[in-house]
Amino acid sequence: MCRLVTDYLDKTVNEYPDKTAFIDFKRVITFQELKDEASAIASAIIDRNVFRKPILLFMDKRVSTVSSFIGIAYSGNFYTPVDIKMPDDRIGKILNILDPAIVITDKEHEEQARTIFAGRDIMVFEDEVSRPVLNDRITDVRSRLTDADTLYVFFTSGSTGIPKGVIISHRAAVDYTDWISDCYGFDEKTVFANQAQLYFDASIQDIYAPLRNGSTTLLIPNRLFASPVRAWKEIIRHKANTLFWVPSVLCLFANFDVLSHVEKAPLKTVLFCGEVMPVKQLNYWIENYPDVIYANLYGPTECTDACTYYTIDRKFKDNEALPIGKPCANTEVYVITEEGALADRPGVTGELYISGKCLSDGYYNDPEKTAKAFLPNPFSSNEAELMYKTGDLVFYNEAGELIYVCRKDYQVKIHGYRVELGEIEAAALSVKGVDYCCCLFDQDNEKTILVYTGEIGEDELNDILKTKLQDYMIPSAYKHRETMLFNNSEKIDRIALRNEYL
Amino acid sequence: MVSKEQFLEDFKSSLNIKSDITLDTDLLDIDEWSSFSMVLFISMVEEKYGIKAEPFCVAEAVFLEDLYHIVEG
Repeated sequence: MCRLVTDYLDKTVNEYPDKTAFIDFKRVITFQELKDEASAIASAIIDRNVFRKPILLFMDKRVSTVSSFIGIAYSGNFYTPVDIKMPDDRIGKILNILDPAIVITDKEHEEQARTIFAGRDIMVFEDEVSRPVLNDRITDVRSRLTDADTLYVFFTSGSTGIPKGVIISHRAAVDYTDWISDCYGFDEKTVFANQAQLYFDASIQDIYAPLRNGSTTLLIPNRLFASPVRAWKEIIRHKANTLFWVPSVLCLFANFDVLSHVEKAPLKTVLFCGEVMPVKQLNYWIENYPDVIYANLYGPTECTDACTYYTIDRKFKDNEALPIGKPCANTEVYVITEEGALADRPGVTGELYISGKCLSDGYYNDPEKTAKAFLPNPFSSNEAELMYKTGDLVFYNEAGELIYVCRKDYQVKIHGYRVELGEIEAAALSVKGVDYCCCLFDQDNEKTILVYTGEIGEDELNDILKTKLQDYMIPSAYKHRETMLFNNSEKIDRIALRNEYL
Repeated sequence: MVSKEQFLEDFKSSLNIKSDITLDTDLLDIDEWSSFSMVLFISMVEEKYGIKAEPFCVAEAVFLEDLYHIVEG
């Protein structure tokens, strides 16, 4: 049984030493080579007497970044990748919280790193990767680690402007990887086409499922998605059969009608997570790839990656909401109403709370925020167990499937009526000619503003929405944009839109 | 018909591109080119030249010249 993610590699390297593990646009690495590189990096870190400390990674999405992740894990430390294009101000805030013992970069970004991280211990990947491996010391470190040790800390945006470092243990990452691999049958024939950035939780299965199952991951540079047909050609060239993408990127391929024009990829599984997947665009994918397994996954970074899932098993109309389904293995969900009661009957909306192995160990160096979000679980017989308050509103449908409504902050009162902004967005997204949209609420004037992109005019959209929504839900104003604003996680940037329109 | 020079000027101004580009430039070498500027490009050619670009033709463009062919017809 594997307790650490490195145990996966130790097992798989014996089974598939010469099989391709990861591919980027510069090189290909086998499981044996990955183990060798990771062991060299681990040795370099162990030689510096650094243990159970944060290590920051300043590298692009590359095979060497993955080798570094695993090397850091072998060394008994934990990693935090940051975007090489991240503004200095945000990097500064992360450094204040994390205070990394080492910064790892590569030759390409060394100069930039030496400026940004001046005064810190900087390790250059290429200088360390060929060094002798200290096998005895790696074995010694392994004997001191438990599955409760931290694997990584990913930073998410905080509402106060201070990023939050979400701590994820080996146990949580292994539990998630085991669940998703078993649930969707990942094996040595699985080839992932990775889309998510490696500092985003949607990449977790792309990194650890290969280690567990002998699968392969193609790391697609995010730049390539600005040329979707070229991105697709890479998927074809490497025979990728499994996608775990954010809905915005799946929508890009639908909105530009890419799939009906290009060669068929050998797709088997398409999973999506991170934001609401519009059914109109999902139906486009299903039309082009009817035999593929599609699943809608849900989960905040604080729950490793996905903690609920729904495998599409029926047809949905363009204006219907996809369920987020049921909890993954070793996960419990609770829907709690404003009155504090469990909402276990269909149609009763409440806030979603989550407990289980997937749970983060809190926010790094921030006990106050941790105490606010991770609460004692009153439904558990284990007094020490915590549950995470997601801030998401959900309800059960008649089939017992969870349906996502919106963020709790997006539930507003207009002239005494309770309105969920997500419902207005879902109605707008079902209209032909709307590509992306975001509904904002002007609290002072009790008005809703629908910001959208697409071909349809504001008056026509208003006329159609009048046929779909209650009168008090019709947006008070429309703002048509040529392009939508997206944040680093490739989700619609509500904060930037609020700043622009409110 | 839109001249190459006019097209380049309109393209640069619609995407606020400051660097030097030619029709031989690979779109991925233009920092400002993104999946979202593809939408902007479609709007620009409709507004300026009255041409309704096929979304897929924009999605498959590799060089700036490929986008020029869309407006050239």
